[in-house]
Amino acid sequence: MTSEPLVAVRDVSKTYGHIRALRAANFTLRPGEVHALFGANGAGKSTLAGIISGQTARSGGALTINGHDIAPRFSPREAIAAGVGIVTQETSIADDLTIWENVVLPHYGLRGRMSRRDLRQQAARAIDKLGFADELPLDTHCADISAAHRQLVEIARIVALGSRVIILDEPTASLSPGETSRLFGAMDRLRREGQGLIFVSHRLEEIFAICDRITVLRDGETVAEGRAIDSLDQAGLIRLMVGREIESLTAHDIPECADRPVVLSLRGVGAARMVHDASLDLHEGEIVGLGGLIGSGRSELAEILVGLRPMTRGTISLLGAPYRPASSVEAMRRGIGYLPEDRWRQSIIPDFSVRENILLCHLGGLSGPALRYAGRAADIDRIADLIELPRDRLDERSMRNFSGGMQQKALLIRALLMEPRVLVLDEPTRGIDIGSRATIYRLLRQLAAQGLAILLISSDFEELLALSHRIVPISDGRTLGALHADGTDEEQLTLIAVPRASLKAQQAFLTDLARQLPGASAWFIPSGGRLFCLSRDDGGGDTLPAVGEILTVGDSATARAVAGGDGRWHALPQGSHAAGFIIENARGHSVGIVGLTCAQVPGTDHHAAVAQGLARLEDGRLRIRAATTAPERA
Amino acid sequence: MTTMTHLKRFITILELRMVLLVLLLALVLSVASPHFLTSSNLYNLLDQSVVLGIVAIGMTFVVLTGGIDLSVGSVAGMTGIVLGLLLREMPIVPAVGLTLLVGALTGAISGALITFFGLASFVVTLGMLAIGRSLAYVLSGQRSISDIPDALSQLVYTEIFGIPLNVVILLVLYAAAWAYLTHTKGGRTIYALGSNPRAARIAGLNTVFYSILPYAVSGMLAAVAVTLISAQILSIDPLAGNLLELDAIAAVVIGGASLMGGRGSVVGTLFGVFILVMVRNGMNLLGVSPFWQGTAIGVIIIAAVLVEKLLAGRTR
Repeated sequence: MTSEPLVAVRDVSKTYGHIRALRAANFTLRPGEVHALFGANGAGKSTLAGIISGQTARSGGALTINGHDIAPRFSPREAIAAGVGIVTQETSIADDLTIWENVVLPHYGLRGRMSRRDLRQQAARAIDKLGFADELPLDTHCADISAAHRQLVEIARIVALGSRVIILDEPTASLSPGETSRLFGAMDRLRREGQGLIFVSHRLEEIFAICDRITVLRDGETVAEGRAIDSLDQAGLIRLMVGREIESLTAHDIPECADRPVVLSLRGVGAARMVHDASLDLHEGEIVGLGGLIGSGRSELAEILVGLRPMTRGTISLLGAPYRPASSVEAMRRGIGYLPEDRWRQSIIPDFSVRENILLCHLGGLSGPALRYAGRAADIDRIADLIELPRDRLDERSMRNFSGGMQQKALLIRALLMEPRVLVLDEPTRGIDIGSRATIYRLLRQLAAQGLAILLISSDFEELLALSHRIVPISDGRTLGALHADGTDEEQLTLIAVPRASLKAQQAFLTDLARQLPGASAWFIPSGGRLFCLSRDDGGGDTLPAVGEILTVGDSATARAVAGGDGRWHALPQGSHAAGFIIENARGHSVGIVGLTCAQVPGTDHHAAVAQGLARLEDGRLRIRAATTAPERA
Repeated sequence: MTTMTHLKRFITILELRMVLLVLLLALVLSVASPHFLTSSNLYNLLDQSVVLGIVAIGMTFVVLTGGIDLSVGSVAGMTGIVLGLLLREMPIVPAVGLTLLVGALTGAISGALITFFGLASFVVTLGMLAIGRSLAYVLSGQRSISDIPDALSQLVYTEIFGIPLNVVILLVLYAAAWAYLTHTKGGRTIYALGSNPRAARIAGLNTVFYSILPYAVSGMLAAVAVTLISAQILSIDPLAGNLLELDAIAAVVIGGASLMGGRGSVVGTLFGVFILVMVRNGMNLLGVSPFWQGTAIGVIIIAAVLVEKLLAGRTR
């Protein structure tokens, strides 16, 4: 690959007053590649992206785009004309316009006459090119679409402009894993058409999944330029980013908590919308992860617990007493602490000092008019020491100069000051760089070790699995049993957390199988000596568990027969028979086990029946694992 | 260098900036006119600050929550007529008490509509502006009420340590408002919900009550202001307090409050009131046509907002 670079950045610097955001940034983008721009928060990634896209004027250095030298003062409009488009975290979607109008919005700023029909077609073409025609109906108003879809509209906008250079600044921050993989599909399509994509991110897995090359920034300087992604591993990248070794995010010992007292217990909890049937137990000192995608009802369930959303169904008991919070004060007084997902919109009072921000829950919990701030100073100092927030920073006049990690620490002090027994955390590490993440992880484990029960929500399943003792999957507002975090991996969790509607085809396949045998069939996700029932036939026979139930291989002969995955019929003590097939995807990764039971060994070829059914699922990308295909009639 | 940074820090503290500005204005005016720095003129300045100053406290409360109260002038007019009518039926103390209650209730109605239905404060209080003035005319029969008992004037002319009672009331109200806003749960809640209502609610603050309260305070203080006007001139006109809301908003804005809520202080507002009153007074002393006053005040308002904007941009 020695084609003419699309973008070349040489020794670019940027100063804001006395602050140097960039010292010497170097970067080259070639056509047909996805190039990661990686670094910790404040390393200068977004500043550099802003300079390339004309949103920020550079202070020094040279920039060429498509071989043309670009003057330091360079407007976004000139950038668009030069073929550079950027999608930022904050979407600039006009809510009252339709999807297609938003896609062609920048065209309104161009000279010349425009016909609505042409523009609409142009929008349709851009959306088609991305492969999102089904998800982005042209005439839907943008007020009615999800955050993920808004992001896609922004990307379509850039495509409609015909940009050859597409900058995606942390595009996956608000996306679920499924949405992210669809976005990656679209990025791949653009790459193959010869566009150059700059992917600004600090999520390692994503960088390894989609990028060809990587440029690493540290403290405003390029420390690695245009390295091939294959030449690096995760540990090496982290070293480049922080300039030192940091402790692993995942390795840790989890003490078992199942025998400790239950602090919070939910049974059949529901609200008017989004949450339908949630049940879970949270033990003292335990971290339970809610494994769900955006829109699964996970944040809404958190809101019920903290008194922000009325509960319409079910019961909750907290420390053994019935609990039905009517307000956030009540939740706080009963011992529930809460860190909502969006720090700036839901937590921080921008006009308050750091100290008063920390005292906000204290303020809300006061019963008399007096502030009693002074009486809390010692507690604040103690907790600040515990979570390693320097005391001198407590007296800053605003949270604006705090990094994401520091903000989150301050907000943790806010919650801990109320001495909660249960902490509900919604996306506690969103927008926080890896260095600070490690500190927050250590802190949460430490708090749990001291007996605090933590309910954790995270879109980052790797994080969820690393931190939690147990995972409670949730989808479409319903919880599905509970899994032990060790022995479960991200792919399994993603499979379990998919919206139930998307399992319709799988359920039809299982029902069909059950009729052919005749018998019962179910799809299991194996997880550390247990089988999680993901879906099953609609016959409802009791020889196989219900959806969301878990079989322990050691305890159940059925589970043993199924988990073996050898495709043969095994006689069960109760006189019936069971068989299991391990199913894998095109990459050879197991996506589950199909389990079958029947009263007598049937005459039909069950192996062929499973294979034929699979061929109709997921465009035929699934197959029976070869090692287990020993079709042998018993 | 260090003196520069000290000066910078000094300038970024709102109240100190306002003191500086008032002193500077006083200096200019006392040089320009020999009549400015006389005790009778200074007394005059304070006296002229009372009505606007009291209404501006309520306006500060409302603006801190991110709202605006356009109805204060006409609520003053309406409650003034209510006071006049009540004084025909009962002694001064219960009459004034009931009048203040009517003012507070009127404000509370606006506040409740804004809070419970999520209506824009601009629109609700614009409606209340029309209703208040209309009721003032209806209740008064389009005539001034001039049979006010002379005893009411004691509210203005009684002196405490040589200071007229109305000025004492003004200063006491400011001290109370300052203490409330900076040192009580309610006050801090008002700031917090003006700055980020969602965060305030999630943190357990009583955002409903404290969103309504500022409007009730504003309505009640409009009634206090009109009571003092009546006490001074022993007559009540249904047009009393006309356009008072604009002066009050001007004082709050000049005093450094952000109309987006969350930022500002009553001390700043008090100096905003002083600046408005001094500019008017100074222009009168210098014999400038009163028609120029609007231009001068307009320029000051815009300049004040501009300075705030530039300073806010720098501290970020």
